[in-house]
Amino acid sequence: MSDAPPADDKGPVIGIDLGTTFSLAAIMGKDGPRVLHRQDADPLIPSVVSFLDGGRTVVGRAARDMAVLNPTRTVHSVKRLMGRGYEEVELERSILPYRIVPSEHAQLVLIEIDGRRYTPQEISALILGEVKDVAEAALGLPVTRAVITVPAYFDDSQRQATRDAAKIAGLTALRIVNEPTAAALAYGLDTRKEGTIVVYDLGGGTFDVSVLKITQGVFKVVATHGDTHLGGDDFDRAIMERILAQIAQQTGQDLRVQPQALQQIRLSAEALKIELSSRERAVLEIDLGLGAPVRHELDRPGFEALIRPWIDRTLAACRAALADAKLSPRDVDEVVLVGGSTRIPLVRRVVAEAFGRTPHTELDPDRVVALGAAIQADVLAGGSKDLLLLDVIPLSLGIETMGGAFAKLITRNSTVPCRATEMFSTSVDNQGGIDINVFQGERELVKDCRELGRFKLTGLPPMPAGLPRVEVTFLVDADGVLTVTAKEQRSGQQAGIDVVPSHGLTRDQVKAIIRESIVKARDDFAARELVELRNKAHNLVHGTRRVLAMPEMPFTSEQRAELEADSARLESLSAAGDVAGLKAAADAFGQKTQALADAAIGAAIKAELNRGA
Amino acid sequence: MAEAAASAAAVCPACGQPAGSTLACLDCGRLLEEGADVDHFARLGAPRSPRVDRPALEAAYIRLSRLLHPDFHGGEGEEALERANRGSALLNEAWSVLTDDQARLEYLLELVDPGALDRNKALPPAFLAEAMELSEDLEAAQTNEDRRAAAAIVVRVREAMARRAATLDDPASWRAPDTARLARLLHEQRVDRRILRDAGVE
Repeated sequence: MSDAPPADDKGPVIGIDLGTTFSLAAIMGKDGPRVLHRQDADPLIPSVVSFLDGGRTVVGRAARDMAVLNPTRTVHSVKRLMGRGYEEVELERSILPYRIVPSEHAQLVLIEIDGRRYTPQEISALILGEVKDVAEAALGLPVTRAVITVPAYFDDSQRQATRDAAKIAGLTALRIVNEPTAAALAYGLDTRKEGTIVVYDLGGGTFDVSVLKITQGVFKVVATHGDTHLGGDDFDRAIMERILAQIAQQTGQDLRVQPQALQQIRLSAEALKIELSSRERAVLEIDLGLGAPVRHELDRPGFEALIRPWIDRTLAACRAALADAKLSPRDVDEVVLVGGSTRIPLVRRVVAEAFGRTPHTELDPDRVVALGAAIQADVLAGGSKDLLLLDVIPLSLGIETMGGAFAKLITRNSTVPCRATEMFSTSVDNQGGIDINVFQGERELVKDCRELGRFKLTGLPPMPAGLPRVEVTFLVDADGVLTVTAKEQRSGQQAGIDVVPSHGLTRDQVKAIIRESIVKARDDFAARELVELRNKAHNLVHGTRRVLAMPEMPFTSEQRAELEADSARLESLSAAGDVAGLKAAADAFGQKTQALADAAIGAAIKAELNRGA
Repeated sequence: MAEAAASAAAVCPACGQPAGSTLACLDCGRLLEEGADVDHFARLGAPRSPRVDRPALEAAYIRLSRLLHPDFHGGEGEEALERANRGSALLNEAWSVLTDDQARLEYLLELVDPGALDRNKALPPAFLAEAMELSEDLEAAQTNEDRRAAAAIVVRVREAMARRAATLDDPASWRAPDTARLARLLHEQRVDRRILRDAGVE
């Protein structure tokens, strides 16, 4: 098996919204983009993976239904862990019911289920695999290429992690597109608007705001801001805390230590939140086995007060994005709302106030991102050349200099692709390599920025200190992902670069995961085949013995002995688990009994006819 | 300055028309190999000048983006994709430099007299003393919530910046230019911009 992505560049390119709470796929059709789904099924696939006995997994709605029964083996909100280090997910560790452990040097977050450890990329790959299956079922075609959306404020590690997840799922991510930008595409295509638009995207786990200028089909992002840890999940948790406090007060019980009850309360809190978008008051009753069911009441003003701090943070991000774009709210022509959390009336109200205009909500906020991704997928598949997306890098990128200072090489909101070059030299005679530490962020010191990775320049020709002139080029591609190349100017030699991502997987680790999952998939296949063969053998033997026991069956004693011997042999092969032997024996036995059965039925029918005559 | 104008007006090898940009032919769309000594003005087909024609620049930028962007070169192999990435990155850099007044003028000065900015870092002590005083007064006015005093200082700083800008973006200043003076003016603009930014005004 090769690790390379499928080589064929034919076939459909789908758009995938890989969300915190759910994921879905869409494709460009003759009449515009449409979402993909299994017959009669909801296109929204919950981004949940549940592990069953024997290492089997279920994904989507079935997994979500397992959350209460199987809380510690059901993984939700894995997007919050993508491309992050163990120390960075302290909040997630305290709120997610499954076990989160550090990798060897704590650069990675791992999810431990039944003693096995999984990277967030592998869990995301399972979700992407389900989305791929749904798309293939809907289209009746194999799908190997996709455009996948991420929050605009995702940094390089988080984008890279998303690309790796796609690779593990057997998908080539032709492009990583920012969610608000995708939404703007869907709206822009719909209305053929020109001008300045603001996309306010509040999803399950992340918030983004982007300012775009649309001119002659070119969608140019001018500025973007956001928070990768702010979303509807936070509102659910705020309600949850309120319920837990009430229970503690009424019963003196602390349910925080009971994962099952916690999951039940989490789902109820979410339901309460959703209800409060259409009603002024909502009441919830949950039976947690505490004697009387827990009754909890919340009205809309109470809910709005509860979530106000988060909403205020989104407004601050909007102001920052406008300031970066050197615009005032008056300069904005349209405001677009995206993400399920924008159904909350308070959100609609404050956004309308902040920009002095009614925001657009015509397109389903849960689907618009996938639809936009499908439009971009069509461009990349060579379909449309009418529109072009020019996106930006959300956070400044630079290197560590003397004394831990952060030297910005590429400033935030630069249009991608973009690049910067920097000269490096040696400090010791005959030094063979140079270490470059790359960071992303807006602060003055690297300790306050996010470390992306260490790049080791190797293979420098031996020269006195300070003489080599190594030109290092940092290229951020259209996905917002960094690649680094280096050249020694005096020798003209291309310097080698070893990349050690700080919070991601090395190329070799990704390959290993892919190999392992292919091996695992083969094991799974063999196991399933054995189960099916054993069932078949059992049915054959059982059926044969039942027939043999019938006195009216016209079998000779030789035939009976032969069938009995064959049955015994099938049973022993089945017990031994010999797939190949069992398959051959079962097939042969099946044919033999089929012939006998035909003869027997023939005889029985004859007897029946004779009797009637 | 004459050489740059010549390279921007170079003839496209594919269609024989003036290419209009060193990155691609604006007429027929052919992607071009850039020679040495190409500058951002030539990339966007603009004359080397302290002032730019913004609508013309934007039209060239959009046309070139459509020609160079990697989205439209996906099926042409690794090398073509790399070239598209490189060309787009250069185009985006040219755009961001030429559309920012300070960046464009500093860039132009370095083209005219390389190293001029570095050689003329020392600013007149009187200017520095005044800048420090303005900065402190502005901070004090903001702390005391004296809006009128703060606004008066902001106006003063902006007026000084506008006066310098009038000299800097006048093409006459760039004919037989006094590059030491232009460099000092650009450094002073930076200092004043910093004062406004630190005060949260800009």
